[in-house]
Amino acid sequence: MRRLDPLVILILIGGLVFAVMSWLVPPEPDDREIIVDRQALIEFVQFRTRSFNVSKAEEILDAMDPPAYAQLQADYVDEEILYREAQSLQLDRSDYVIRLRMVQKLEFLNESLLPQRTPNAEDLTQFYNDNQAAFTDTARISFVHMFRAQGEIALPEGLTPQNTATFSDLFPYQLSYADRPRDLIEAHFGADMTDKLFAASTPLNQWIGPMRSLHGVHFVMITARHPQRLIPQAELGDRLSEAWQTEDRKQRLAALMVELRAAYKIDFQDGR
Amino acid sequence: MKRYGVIAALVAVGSIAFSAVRAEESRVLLWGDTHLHTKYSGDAYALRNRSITPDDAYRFAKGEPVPHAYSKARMQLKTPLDFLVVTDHAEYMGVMQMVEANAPELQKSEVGRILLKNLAEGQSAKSFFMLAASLNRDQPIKELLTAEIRQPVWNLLTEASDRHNEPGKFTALIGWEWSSLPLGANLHRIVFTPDDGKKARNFLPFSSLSDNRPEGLWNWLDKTSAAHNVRFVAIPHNSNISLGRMFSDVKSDGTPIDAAYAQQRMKWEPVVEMVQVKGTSETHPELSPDDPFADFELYEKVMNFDTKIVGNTGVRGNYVRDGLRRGLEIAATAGENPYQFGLIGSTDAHTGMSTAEEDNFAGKFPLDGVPTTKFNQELTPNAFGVDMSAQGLAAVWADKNTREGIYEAFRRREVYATSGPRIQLRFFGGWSFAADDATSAELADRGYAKGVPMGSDLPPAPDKGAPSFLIHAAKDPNSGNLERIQVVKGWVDASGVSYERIYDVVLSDKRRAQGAKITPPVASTVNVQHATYSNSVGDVQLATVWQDPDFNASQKAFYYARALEIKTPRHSVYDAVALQEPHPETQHAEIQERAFSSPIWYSPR
Repeated sequence: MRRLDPLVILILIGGLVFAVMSWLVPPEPDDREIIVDRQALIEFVQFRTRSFNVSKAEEILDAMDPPAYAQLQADYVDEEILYREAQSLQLDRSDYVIRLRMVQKLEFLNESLLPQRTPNAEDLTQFYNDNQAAFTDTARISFVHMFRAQGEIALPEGLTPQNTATFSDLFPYQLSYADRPRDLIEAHFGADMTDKLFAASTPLNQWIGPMRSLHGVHFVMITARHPQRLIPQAELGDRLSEAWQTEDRKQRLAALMVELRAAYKIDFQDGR
Repeated sequence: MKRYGVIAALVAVGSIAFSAVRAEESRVLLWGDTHLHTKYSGDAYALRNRSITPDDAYRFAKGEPVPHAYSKARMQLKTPLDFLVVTDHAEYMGVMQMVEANAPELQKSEVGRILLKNLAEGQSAKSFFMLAASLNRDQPIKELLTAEIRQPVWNLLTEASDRHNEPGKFTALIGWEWSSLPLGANLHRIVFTPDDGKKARNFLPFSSLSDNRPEGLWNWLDKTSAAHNVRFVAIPHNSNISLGRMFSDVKSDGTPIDAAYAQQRMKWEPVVEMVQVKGTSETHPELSPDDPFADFELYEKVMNFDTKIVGNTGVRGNYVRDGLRRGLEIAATAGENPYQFGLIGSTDAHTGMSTAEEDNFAGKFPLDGVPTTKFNQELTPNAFGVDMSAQGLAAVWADKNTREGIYEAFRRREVYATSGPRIQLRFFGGWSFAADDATSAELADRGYAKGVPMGSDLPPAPDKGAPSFLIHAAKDPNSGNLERIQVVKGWVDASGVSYERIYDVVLSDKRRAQGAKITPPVASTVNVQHATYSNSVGDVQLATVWQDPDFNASQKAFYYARALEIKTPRHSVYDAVALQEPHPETQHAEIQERAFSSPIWYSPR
């Protein structure tokens, strides 16, 4: 069965609520009558304490001594009067805060109204093919190096990956890098040396150098290097479907906005 | 986008290579932000963050491009972060607003009550509310007004964090902000947990609407951690606008701080967020008249939305250095130090974008993230975008980039603050460092072997001699060179009065440090007309061993390191140049970005 589109759902729900309301809503009370019942006061306490735990509000209400209770009643009545007067003057009409609040509530409603969809295999493959940049892993490298701040260096006798510090000057950053992305290596050593380290022709597991960086001269042993690569779809697992769902949601929200827009006649009269 | 995925296989290969050689340095330096808001924070939404979700925030932190919520321009970090905590306000999460707007309305009428009843009984209206607010149908109706409506946003936040957490590569932690603001006094705390969403969904984030006293928050943390076997760290921030209350000498009820208060506070608050978009809370020129670098990104716009409370910022209790000093004073009488904390920076950005770079700053709110609105849109009372600072970051020396590794580092306070640049800073204290430790390529190993790292207590003093400190800083490859490293010392005398002193310990450009006689900064290379600077002055790295020349073994003391860059242009200079307008005189055009280590404490035997 074809899924109902969100706009239709929204309209159906609106209709449903309207129907239920018209059926159940008691007749409008007199505009000039203010009923102060327990329920109203509990809600008033809830608003005031900004806590929507009803039993807590009841507790607060029941614990009030007579003067506090009378004050609460008076405050409620004053607020209700001012609210109704403001309403009758239509002061809510051009209030931007109220407008924003309503917009926000509807936006949230729109988001909540879109049930999550589950992609099928075809959707996923299509999405994967269309968004390969999102599933490409950056180039990474693991290496150790010995470092001299000045002068030319020869490969020291007895240099091992474990003892580079013994033969090095103080390097600003690290002597060992494990599975680090290319950007970081470039920031620490500069572009020229980074290009050499990542070149496919630079051999692994042997001392290479001397190489010049931003900071001095190095001998380097690369132990692992992973070029930038597209992650195979099979390796992505839930990540792919989650990315699909995020995008799907965005698109449906955008589509909902387009549909809502279509229901309006928009007349630009600003002269531009 | 290229950083999107991680593959288990790749990580596995990487760690084999890793062990085949040696671990990286003894601990790795991770960069992150523990304080970032998305559109689910009410204030962020109101000031134009209508689009940035937690997912977007994590993607941005990982290095992906994301459109700015207001300008819609593509924004991207030059260097991705290693970890991020998305921390929306517990008080104003999107769904909270739905509750506030809807629930009383529903109860006001018979209809509302019937609709709610229908909801619980699975009748037709139920579906509407289920869809509209993702309500949880298993709860009693009254509960629905709180838990069921807040839960969906909490689910969304915790799920996004779990989804983006990639152990070893990028750590996403779960957190929120407890935003207590009694009479305009900012007592805000970030709370984060290293535990996963499954555990976090056993509770709802504690809000200041339930209790706005810090003691109330700690009580909740005590109770919740025990009930659900979950761990927390709470982090105070913006003491600078706390009206003297963040590092007070009294509790919330006005009685003097005692040992029990100090213990509970230190149990939950090992670290303070000292640097962020609403200024630097290290110290104030009125409190530290002998510190020529104290006037750095100060922020004195107290958040009182009713009346215009003026400043009160020069008084005690507002600044971290003063808090560290007062901690020593209180310990002298109460027997416990309530203010023995480490230091971090974070952004507190409400843009969903963790940007702390002067030339790549997305704003405090989206609304002030573009040049045309930065200078003339009021954000909070009397505060404009130009008053905000493009800072800070949390630096963490961790065993590994995982939730566990980061949590442990916070617990041992081996963390530090920067004003944005990724200045690498090491600070070890001990009794036997030698001058050549500071030139050795094994500096870090010697630091751990012969001393203790930042955040620690010094080991007991030998019979004679003074403590020495092994200190190293390396510049951010993408920022200004380093200009100097200083040590800030605070101590308390026998009568319980505290003092502070600043020492230059190593200077750039072959200048010789004169200790407590502070050397003026090197000449500025900043061109304010073009928003440029040059690394023709300053050094790539600075290192030294410094011994306290004024040590008194009978006095409690703390020491922390402060590394300063050469002068560079402030974020507002880039906007002024973009607009071809003069930079406003209300803010410095040139700043010396900096890193602050967590302190090391000394106590007599």
